[in-house]
Amino acid sequence: MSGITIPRYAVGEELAGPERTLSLQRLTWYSMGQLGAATGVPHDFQDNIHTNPEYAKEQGLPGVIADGMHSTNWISALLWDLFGIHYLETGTLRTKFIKPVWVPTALTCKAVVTAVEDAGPGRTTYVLDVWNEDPDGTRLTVGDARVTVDEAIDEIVRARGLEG
Amino acid sequence: MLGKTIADLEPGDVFVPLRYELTSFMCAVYAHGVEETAECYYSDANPYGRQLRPPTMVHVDKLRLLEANCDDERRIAGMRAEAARIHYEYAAVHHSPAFVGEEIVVTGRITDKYVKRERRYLAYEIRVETASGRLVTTYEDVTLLDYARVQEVSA
Repeated sequence: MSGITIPRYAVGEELAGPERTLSLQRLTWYSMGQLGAATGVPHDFQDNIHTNPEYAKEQGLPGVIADGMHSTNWISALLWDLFGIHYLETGTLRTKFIKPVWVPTALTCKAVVTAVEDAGPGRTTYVLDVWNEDPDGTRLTVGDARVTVDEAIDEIVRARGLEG
Repeated sequence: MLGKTIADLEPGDVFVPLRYELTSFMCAVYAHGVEETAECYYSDANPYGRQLRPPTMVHVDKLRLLEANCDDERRIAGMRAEAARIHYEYAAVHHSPAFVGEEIVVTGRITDKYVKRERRYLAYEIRVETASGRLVTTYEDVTLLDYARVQEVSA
């Protein structure tokens, strides 16, 4: 009996996450999270082009620019919402930061299914274009993703749990 | 230790590998920093029965490699170079999750360095495995070395 959801999507289906405003406050949270993850101990946010408007201007930027990983993480969260553990097991994600995200900007992450491929018995690969856009619909980050949904996911997860 | 700034890195440079133990705090603080709501990043209460890291944390592995290898620009320690770096492209392939308590081994190298539209870019290739040899993530990254155009830098 399967406990983990087996998601199914059709080619052309467009999927979206919530609109969220990338604010200076949120950039400081990311800075603290990134530094904490890198050092293993709590950290204050770092003074840089993502958090300090004056330093950003010294670097030739018009103002504070969001870290591209913020967009990547919010797109990754959308893929988690769509595919759950299948995304963790088999996902790929490519993002390209084609336009700067000046702070604050409201962003919506979106995905469209561009192909559905047979990946063998009980396995289906979903190919998606992914991006985020501002309220005018201008795409700031673009990319693509692939996730293979495996009907044997329960067994795969159970085996991972036993590895520990 | 390659003893350079990030801008000094060249194609063919191979980073000295690093190892660390993935902790619950590392996973949770990163997930919290980007408002991830998936419980698997915060606790064992998930189908694996083991807390794991957000897959995007491979980018932190890149920062760790740079910190350990570029002693003239240790950004985690707060050092600044003459120019701020701007991330341009992220490309990760997830081979398996990384779980709390596992020893993580990170290797990487510089694959390319080029000028496009008068701006300098650096390309990386990074591989993340567990100490037991299970592949976790392979990752390619492109970073803009300086926002100012090359002409302006050299003027």
